[in-house]
Amino acid sequence: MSERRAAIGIDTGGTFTDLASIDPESGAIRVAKVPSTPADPAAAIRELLGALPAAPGRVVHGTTVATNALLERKGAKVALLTTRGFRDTLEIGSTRRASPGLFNTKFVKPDPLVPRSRRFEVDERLMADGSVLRALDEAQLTALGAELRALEPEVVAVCLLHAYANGSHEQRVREIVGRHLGDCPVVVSSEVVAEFREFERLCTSVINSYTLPKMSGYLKRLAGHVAACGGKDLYVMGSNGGIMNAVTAAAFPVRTILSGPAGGVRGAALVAEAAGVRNILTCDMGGTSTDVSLVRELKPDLIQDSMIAGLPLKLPQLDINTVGAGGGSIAWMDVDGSLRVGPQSAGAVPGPACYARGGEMVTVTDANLHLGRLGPRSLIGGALHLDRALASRALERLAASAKYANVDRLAEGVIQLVVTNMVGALREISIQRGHDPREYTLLPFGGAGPLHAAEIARAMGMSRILVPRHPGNLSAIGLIGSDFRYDLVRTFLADLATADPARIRDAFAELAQQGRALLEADGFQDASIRFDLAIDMRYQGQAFALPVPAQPDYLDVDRLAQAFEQLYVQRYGFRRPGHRIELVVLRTAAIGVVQRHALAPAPRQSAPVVEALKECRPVYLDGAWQRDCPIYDRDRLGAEATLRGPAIIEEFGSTTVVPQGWSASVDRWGNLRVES
Amino acid sequence: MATTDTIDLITLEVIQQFIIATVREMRATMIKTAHSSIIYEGLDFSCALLDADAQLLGQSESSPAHIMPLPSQVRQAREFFAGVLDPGDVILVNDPYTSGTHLNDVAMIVPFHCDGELTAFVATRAHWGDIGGMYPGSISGRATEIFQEGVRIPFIKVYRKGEPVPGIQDLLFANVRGREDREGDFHAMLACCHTAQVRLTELMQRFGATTVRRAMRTLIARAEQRMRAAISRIIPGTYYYEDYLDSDNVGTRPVLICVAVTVQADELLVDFAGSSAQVRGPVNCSLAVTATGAFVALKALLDPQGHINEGAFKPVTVKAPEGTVTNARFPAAVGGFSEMRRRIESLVIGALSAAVPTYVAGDHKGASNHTYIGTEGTRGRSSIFYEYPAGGTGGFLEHDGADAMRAWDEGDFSSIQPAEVVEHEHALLVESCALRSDSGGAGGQRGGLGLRRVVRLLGREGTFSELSDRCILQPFGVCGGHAGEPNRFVVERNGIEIEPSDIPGKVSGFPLHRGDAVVMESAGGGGYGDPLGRATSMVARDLAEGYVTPAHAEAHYGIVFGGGHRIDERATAARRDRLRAARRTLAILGAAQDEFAEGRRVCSLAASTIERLGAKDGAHVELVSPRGAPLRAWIALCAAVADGCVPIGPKGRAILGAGEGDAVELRLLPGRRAAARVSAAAMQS
Repeated sequence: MSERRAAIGIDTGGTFTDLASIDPESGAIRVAKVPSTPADPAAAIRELLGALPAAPGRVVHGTTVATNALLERKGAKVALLTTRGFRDTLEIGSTRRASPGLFNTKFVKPDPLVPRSRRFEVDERLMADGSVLRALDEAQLTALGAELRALEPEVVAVCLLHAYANGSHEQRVREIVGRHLGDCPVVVSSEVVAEFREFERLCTSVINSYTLPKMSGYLKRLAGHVAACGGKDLYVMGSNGGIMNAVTAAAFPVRTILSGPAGGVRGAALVAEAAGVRNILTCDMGGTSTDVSLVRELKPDLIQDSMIAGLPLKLPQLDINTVGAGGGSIAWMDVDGSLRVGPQSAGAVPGPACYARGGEMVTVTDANLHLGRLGPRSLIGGALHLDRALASRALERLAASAKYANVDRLAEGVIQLVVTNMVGALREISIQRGHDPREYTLLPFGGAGPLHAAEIARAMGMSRILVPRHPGNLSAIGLIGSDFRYDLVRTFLADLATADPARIRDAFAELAQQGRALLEADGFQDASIRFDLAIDMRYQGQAFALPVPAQPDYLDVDRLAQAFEQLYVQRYGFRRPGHRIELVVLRTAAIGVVQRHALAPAPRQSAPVVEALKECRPVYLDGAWQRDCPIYDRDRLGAEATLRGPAIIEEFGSTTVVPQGWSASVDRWGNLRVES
Repeated sequence: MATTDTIDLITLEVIQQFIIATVREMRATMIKTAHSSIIYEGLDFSCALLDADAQLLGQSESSPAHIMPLPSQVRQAREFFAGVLDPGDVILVNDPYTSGTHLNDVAMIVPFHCDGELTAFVATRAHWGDIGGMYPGSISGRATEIFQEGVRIPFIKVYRKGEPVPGIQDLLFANVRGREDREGDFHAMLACCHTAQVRLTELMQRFGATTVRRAMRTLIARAEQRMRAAISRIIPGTYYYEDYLDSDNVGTRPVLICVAVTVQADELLVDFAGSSAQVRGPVNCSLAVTATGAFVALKALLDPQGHINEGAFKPVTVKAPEGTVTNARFPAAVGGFSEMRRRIESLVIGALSAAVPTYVAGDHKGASNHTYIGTEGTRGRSSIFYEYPAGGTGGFLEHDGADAMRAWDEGDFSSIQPAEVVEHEHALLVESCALRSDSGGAGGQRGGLGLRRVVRLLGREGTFSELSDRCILQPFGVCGGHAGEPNRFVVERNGIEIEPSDIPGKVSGFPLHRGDAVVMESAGGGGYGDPLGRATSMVARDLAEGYVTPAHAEAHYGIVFGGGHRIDERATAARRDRLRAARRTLAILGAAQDEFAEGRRVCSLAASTIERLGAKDGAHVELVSPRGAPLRAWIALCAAVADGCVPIGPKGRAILGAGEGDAVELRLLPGRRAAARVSAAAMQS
């Protein structure tokens, strides 16, 4: 896929909708930002598209439409069909609370997405090998079709036992029931997740059904806006870090649950690759939460199982760890006199005290403003004025209730605690999984990431930080440079020792064929199509398996066993010689490689660095006020510019703190390298 | 508080977060490296940091069963070695009589020194998949003495000054099954403690030992202050409750447990005097386990949010007479201690229900429900199906209980397996898994529903074992709420449900034939408040969703239907009035003593009273308290009692919050049910 027109990335965030484009000739990145329009996110996008100087090439979108429909419980009226005996699986699940509830005698479980009265059972039964124990009772199904019609559902979901092994019953149910339902879409589980474990497959299918009408309507509107500005094709970022066409996204909205954060991780990986950095820890800090992830050898980790809104999702997703800590996190005194920060956030309304919108509680933003790390005009290029006096007053109130004399130290403490929180999240994905953070570069982005990066790095023992150009728009940039990706799976339970390699090869060949067909429909040709294969394997008796990368010519038993045990040792530190090994799932990622435009290098620093100095103001760092801390304008720092801390570097969407003992330099691509 | 001034507020919170993070890392290390699936999937382990005086600083919270035993055992270890603890020493112990739980739970204790001074302890306790004994897995419902349950490890050093003590590991591992995996668990525990030592060293370097010690003291003082503040909100006095295990697995009699909770200003004394002498079956427990049960319940009622450290225990004293089921002596069997731990929680909730009625919830399934089906596997090897189905939780002031969900005293992990996994692994067919309609105790707020799961044997033969309780004596409702349906585990053979054991819920290796099905029914939660006060709109919703049947709605909620399933509001209101008026009430006579016979509370009634109630001599009943948990008893015919009266001793009256001459409602409970029943399916066909 080569293009002469500029590819566009559009990322919808909670507060702003961002656009980024790369000029195919010069490689220059352009960014734009408008306030988001939550009632109809497409409105903000239309505004951005309308302001484009020329007709765009492919438009890639990071969306929160499906995620919000689910989290806000504003999805569709769904009816659900299951195998006889299993209509309560949605409610019973694995009997987990799926959220903190130890010691809570008053735990309230959220209502199921489909109430029991809209869940029906079908007379049929398949076995684990796909054989039929009880044939589908078509007469019962026909009667059920009429009953369903009276219910007027917006979507019907079908999830039958062992449908991953044999989809024919689900297909037949769709055919028969569909006759009664007119335009009402019928979602069958084996097309959403072709893996065993019925609760996970069921929930994933129900979430897909629940978010489907919202998503498909939205994408239809959006495609109209794209066409209106002369654009051709609309694509959507998937949770797996690859993009898909809009038709696929409209049919499988559940694949976009992490669409936004995935764009950020891809953007970070792109920036790192250009900068010649291969191992990064990303830290995307916004107003209410922070997303962290680990990228090793430029490959983000994937997980196959995750939770959203207390429900399991069984889809490949980037391994992104989210903590409820951001710029808006509120500091408060607990009943025992302890200082705590978060998880409550002030949000946009009333917002931090310094927004002067009636917020009275101290937030992390207020603490930064009080300490001079943020200036009154630091946010979105000064469009939002911050009132330091209000921030300080809120801090004084907190200090009084804590009987704490030093307001400055308290403000620094608030920041220290929110940093501790993020460090915890980063340790979980690095140290606790056997990765040494000292071998990694911290890549902070989002409005508040670069502001706290140095403190995070220090606490993690890291000495290198890479602040990308446009840290507030990195997600949109990531959308442009992402490859297409379709994940195909097949459950394949077998003992490794007795498994037939020819059957494995055949199954992989079928998956590859399916993937190739999807990519060809998107206009890819052989040369730009790649397949990543993996087999989930485990020791017999374990519930969860490790994905072991595989090659088609590598499928003999001994080599697979060796590859599995090697990975097992790396992850767990020991192996179990002589223990039976099992195959569980075959995975193929079909990847369509997009042509990447070389990024334009940043202009060299010609004037002395002092020319970029905006002002000097008092800034509190490491327990002391720096009376005249220099504040630099990032836009006036060219490549090879170097400066020493303490210093603050401000730009449109973000602020970087360079403490004493650290230096910052601008690299060839305009990234800030902050090092100790 | 004096200590607050001596340490910086922020430093304190950073150190608190550090302790939490360290315990979390210990936990992650254990999950990553353990070999027993009950550790890495069942999460049956805990990790803790303690100060030099063996005061708990922080503990992982995946399994609440270990909260007290671990710190208590560290304290005893410190005493046992009389302070001779060197860097590099590693102590191992699993002795239930010195604050252990059962033999499978092996504790490792490592002293941590800073500048040559003992500064902290790192400890972990994990359930080894096997520790020897008479059956694989070591725990058996049939055990009657500790020797049958495995190897007993007193306090021993397995490493001395960093060097393994010769012979000890050989002796230990020669006596357990699956030696390699057990060695793996042992090394996982070493790795877990090592992680903590590394992090503690970092902490000391960053803040200095003096600051860290001061922070430890302050954090403990704060937790103590929180707990004291919570206790002082309760009206002072002594609160009683009594409850039972269905049986000790060996005999058929219920096992009585009694508690008296005394609230005095900001302190609590929890005393289990009056509980049954230790029993032959393996449901006895150590004082540390009893203390854990008490603490878990108190924590839930008083301060569910605060961090757990030693301070939270300080205002609470737990006492239990030695030689009882709540403080067992050598050589009592203790393998099934967790049944007792659960009952002790119910007991403390029951006692305080009248003191803090706005905080309590109805009781829940109250048993571990360990279900095993041994069968031929699908791939030519034998296999064991193992589940422990969750039940409904209790209703509470603001809301109905949750359906088929892990309760507030249990870790948050799956209790049943996916049907698709079961059918891949075993020659079994999961025929259905459904919410159990009508199983939630009726109430203004209904108890949650249990689940009903039918698992059919496809292979030639198999065996079924069950370790459950609350199969006879139901989870109680509170404040007038009804009891939930009990746990029930039976075998369906040729369409007939049969009881596979003399004691319901205690099954050991019942032989199954091809086509038999194990029917697992978990208990519903107890209700909260008078069901006749439940809003008819909520009953209507329950009917529409099939959570209750029309017959149940009529019988328990006084619903009158107009045509079809439409509720006739006016007729319902009138019927509710009639039902309230027709309740079986008795006048309380103030007996001087609470009467017990064969370990059960006796409810002496005149023959005429028994007849009018439609009851029988020996029937199980509950006397309803509108403000707390019910008083349970068994009817005994007594000619000396006046008609319409019931003599109740001082403790019973205290439980009911009622005095002489007051009226009390009596409800009949089914107690032990008929052994064989024809299944509903067979009746339909």
